Amino acid sequence: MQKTRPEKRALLLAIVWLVVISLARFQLTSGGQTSEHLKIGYLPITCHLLLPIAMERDEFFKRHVEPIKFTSWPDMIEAVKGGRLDCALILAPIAISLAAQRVPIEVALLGHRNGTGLVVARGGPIHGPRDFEGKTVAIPIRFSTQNLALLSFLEDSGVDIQKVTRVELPPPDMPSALASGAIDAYIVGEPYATQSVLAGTGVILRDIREIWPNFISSILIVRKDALDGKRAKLDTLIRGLYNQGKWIDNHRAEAARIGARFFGLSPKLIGAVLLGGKVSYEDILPREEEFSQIASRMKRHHLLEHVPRLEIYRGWK
Amino acid sequence: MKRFKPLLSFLALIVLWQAGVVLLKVPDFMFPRPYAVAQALYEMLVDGQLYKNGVASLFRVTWGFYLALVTAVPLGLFLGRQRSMRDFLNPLIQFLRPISPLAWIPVALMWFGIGDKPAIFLIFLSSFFPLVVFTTSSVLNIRSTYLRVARNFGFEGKELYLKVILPAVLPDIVTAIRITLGTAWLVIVAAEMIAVKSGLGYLIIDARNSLRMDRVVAGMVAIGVIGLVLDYLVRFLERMPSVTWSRRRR
Repeated sequence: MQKTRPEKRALLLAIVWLVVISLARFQLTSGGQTSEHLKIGYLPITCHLLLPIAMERDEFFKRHVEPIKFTSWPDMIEAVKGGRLDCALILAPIAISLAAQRVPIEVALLGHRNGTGLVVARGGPIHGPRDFEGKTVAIPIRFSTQNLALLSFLEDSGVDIQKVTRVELPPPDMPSALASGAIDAYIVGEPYATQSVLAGTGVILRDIREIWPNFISSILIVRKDALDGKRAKLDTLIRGLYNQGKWIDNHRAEAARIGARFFGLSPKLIGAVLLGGKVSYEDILPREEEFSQIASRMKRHHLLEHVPRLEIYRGWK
Repeated sequence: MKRFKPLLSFLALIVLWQAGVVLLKVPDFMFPRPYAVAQALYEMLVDGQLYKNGVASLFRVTWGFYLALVTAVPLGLFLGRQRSMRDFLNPLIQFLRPISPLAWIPVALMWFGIGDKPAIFLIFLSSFFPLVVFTTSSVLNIRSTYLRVARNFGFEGKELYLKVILPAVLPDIVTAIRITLGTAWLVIVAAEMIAVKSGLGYLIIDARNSLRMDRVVAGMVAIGVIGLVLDYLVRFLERMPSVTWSRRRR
């Protein structure tokens, strides 16, 4: 009997491998979400807590919504631009700049209010706004209300913002960057401000409410083309998120537990943020004048060339 | 004794690692001890995370790499024989080749969205250009005697490619496969750090975001082990007689 040639055997094995790995992959992914699901982008921050709460408590979300976790803003921006998401929780200035680039989006809700802190190293050199000169401060991304808040905090105190170095860092990296001394301060959405406080490496110099009352960080945007095709479902999604906001404000301890599990963060940390009353989920309907205020601040800091019209979607009510 | 040498080097690494962490008093959140990593690995093995994400990564590498192989090798064979086409396409290939696949991430996300497709596309890119270049240059280096003999025997077209050119370049292609597969495995981890919900790269990013350094290092170990196995498997190809002939000749 003739022995099979090794080349044939190698080719055969290569094909068998292709089939096996493909089958294994499809077996693992089958039964998952289909394209019928509404795709919503989010990041693991308390500003996006409405989503995990709805995923846990709302049957509609369990059946029709596929949450897609991102770890950085730029990745989410590209997914929104490419139309891969039906809706997303995204920073308000990013949404404004997307609208300026004529990406078809509308604002439906705010993620929450407040929930941001300006953190400095414990025992470090910064005690007040004037100490920021010559120091390095981390911001989540230049298109963030955190960045705008930092700039107005410094300018209001007469600090030359050119003398403050700002670096963009992913929020989860900020506490360790502060602890290692790579940065002197940072401004970020919760829970990453409280994390340094709990670790004993940082103190909150200013709560955002002292700088910018009723502060907005992330907002829920919907793509207009998704509204055309799946309007009824999207309306239900927006209503669901809105209703969870009221629930969170009355059930903070339970909300912290759900959020911690969903985000994969420590329950103690989320609990400290929610029970500390640092965030509010009650007043989350968007108001036009707040967006024009953010947009004009962006324009002043050369983050926008012209102030676009970011439309508010109210049809879901 | 010789067989155990590789194991010995790993043992030495673990001992050094443990000693370093203990002596320098490195806290667990900066770099975990070997035992914590082993525990995390075991945890991930039992809850199926390792299997699920390993399959996802291997699936993407397999498709991206195979697609590159079946397009790049024929193209390389063709370019190696066609002077005019080579002069035409080569500058373009040399221009695209040094662009890191990671630079394509924003584009890949916008074109292919979220999930397997952008990752497969990035793997394809990382393997395609090197494979084309390797194959082309290998065809150009075929001894002219072989080709002249083939012509005397009247080999032409398909027969010439299958009976003379392909066997002549096969050793080089296998070497190229070994190198590009290694690169593909490097790229997949980076590719999965963008918007996907599975894969070993995702496992690491996710562990990092939930502040689990032990799982981060465990993910690194898993990636290393699979890379080692891939390399070992490709070395089987290098032992085929149709590949070893070129070395025997020298």
